[in-house]
Amino acid sequence: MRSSFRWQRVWAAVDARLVLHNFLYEVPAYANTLPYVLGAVTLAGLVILVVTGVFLGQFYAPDPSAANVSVRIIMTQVIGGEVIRGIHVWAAHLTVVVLLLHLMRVYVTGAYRFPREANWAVGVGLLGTLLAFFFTGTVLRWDQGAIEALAHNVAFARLLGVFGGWFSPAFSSHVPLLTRLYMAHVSLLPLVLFILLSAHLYLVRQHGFSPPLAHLETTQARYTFAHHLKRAAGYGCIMLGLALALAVIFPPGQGPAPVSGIEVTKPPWLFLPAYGLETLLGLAGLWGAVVVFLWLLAVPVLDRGGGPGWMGRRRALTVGAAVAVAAIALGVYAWLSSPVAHLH
Amino acid sequence: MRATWDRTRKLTTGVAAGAFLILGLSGLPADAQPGVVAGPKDALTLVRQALAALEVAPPAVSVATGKVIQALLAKDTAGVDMVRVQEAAQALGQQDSATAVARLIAALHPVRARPGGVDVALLMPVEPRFAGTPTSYALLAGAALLVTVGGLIIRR
Repeated sequence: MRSSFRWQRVWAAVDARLVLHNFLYEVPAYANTLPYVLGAVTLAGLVILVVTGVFLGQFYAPDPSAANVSVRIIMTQVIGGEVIRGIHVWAAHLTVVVLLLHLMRVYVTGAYRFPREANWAVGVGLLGTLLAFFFTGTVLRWDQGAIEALAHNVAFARLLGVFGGWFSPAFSSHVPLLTRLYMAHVSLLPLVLFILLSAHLYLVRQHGFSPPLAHLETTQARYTFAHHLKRAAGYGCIMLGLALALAVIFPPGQGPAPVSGIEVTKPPWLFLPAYGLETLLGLAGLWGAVVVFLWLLAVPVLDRGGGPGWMGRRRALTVGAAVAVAAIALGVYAWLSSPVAHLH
Repeated sequence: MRATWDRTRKLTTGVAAGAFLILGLSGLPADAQPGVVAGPKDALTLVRQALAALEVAPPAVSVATGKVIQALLAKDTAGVDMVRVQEAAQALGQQDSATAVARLIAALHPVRARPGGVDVALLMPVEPRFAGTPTSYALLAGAALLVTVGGLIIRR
């Protein structure tokens, strides 16, 4: 009893200064179901990635002559290095999976419709940012797959013309592109992520959770946002446990020091659809990824009118399913086919 | 009888060499074609490229064969033991990529031997596996604990 009173006093003192009760706003019961917690679980995954990434950053040397060996040192000489690296790698995969599921949930329920179009655009920006994190992280390994990814980076920068300037080695010829991509991974992208994430959470707070597709809650018990965060923390714990288990059972390896001028690897699963398109259409196939992003941004404009239910959104759902099937088919095609030289 | 056997052996060797050459030439990069930017000419880079092609799963044998042939024809052979490269080429002709990898690594002078040499340790992949040590089981127990705690938080 006395302990409870003491905690209440502590809470009151902290709340008076940090105004935390603003986070105790009411949320509907369905907001605490798994499909509606996926966004917050993605945030939990990002926290894991930031913490493990800060650790790895202490031992990583972002220079072409030292990067590969520094990863080996992390794996073999740094105490806990192999496990922390494994958690970082596996948490990155899991976070992207959860983010894609979140995107699918928002798309299927039509949560991008008025008044949430801006937040959808911010979410697409967050997807792009996470993909950029994944790509730069792939390059930082500095093995054969990394240098081939970097070669694609340079080739696509050429394709982008004046817009690709920052991504080309010529932009800052005395600094290796690997070093600049490392800077992007630990500094530029986290900044972009922070800004977009703040905007995303702000807009969620302003507009509230999007209504469910199946039913409108009426008499269900109501919860606060703190419950939502608690759920996300629970799923975050599970994600950390899974990443740890995967890091122990399937520790990520490290390839040989890379050599340029050859293409014999395939990208991580996330980029396989783009790789498949590149195999079919050449380097220009990478524009397909740009087109998909532009389509995602345009979704709220393309899917206006009609009812809020499944039937009212038949066209949008059909197009979404077609894009998903095409991406999966291209990914499977790329996975099954042998590596192809796209640049050399 | 012996003459027939010798003729058969010569024919087999010739066919194998021809097949090896065709396979190798098919693995030559596009930049070997006229009008396209030329690739590396030094044997050191070519041997490293061949190694890279063999160290992926599954090994890109045809690409590696092309690179090895180019290395054998290279004028700049600094830092490379060309006898080992020839042995690697023979191994590739017999589709023995494991031996070819070993020969190619042996062909590269180690970094300590001379300036500009290659750190051979960095040419081998690091492929850790589940250790099965008390530490790894303790970590797995920690993972199970995290999943359980997460489940309890969600259920409460």
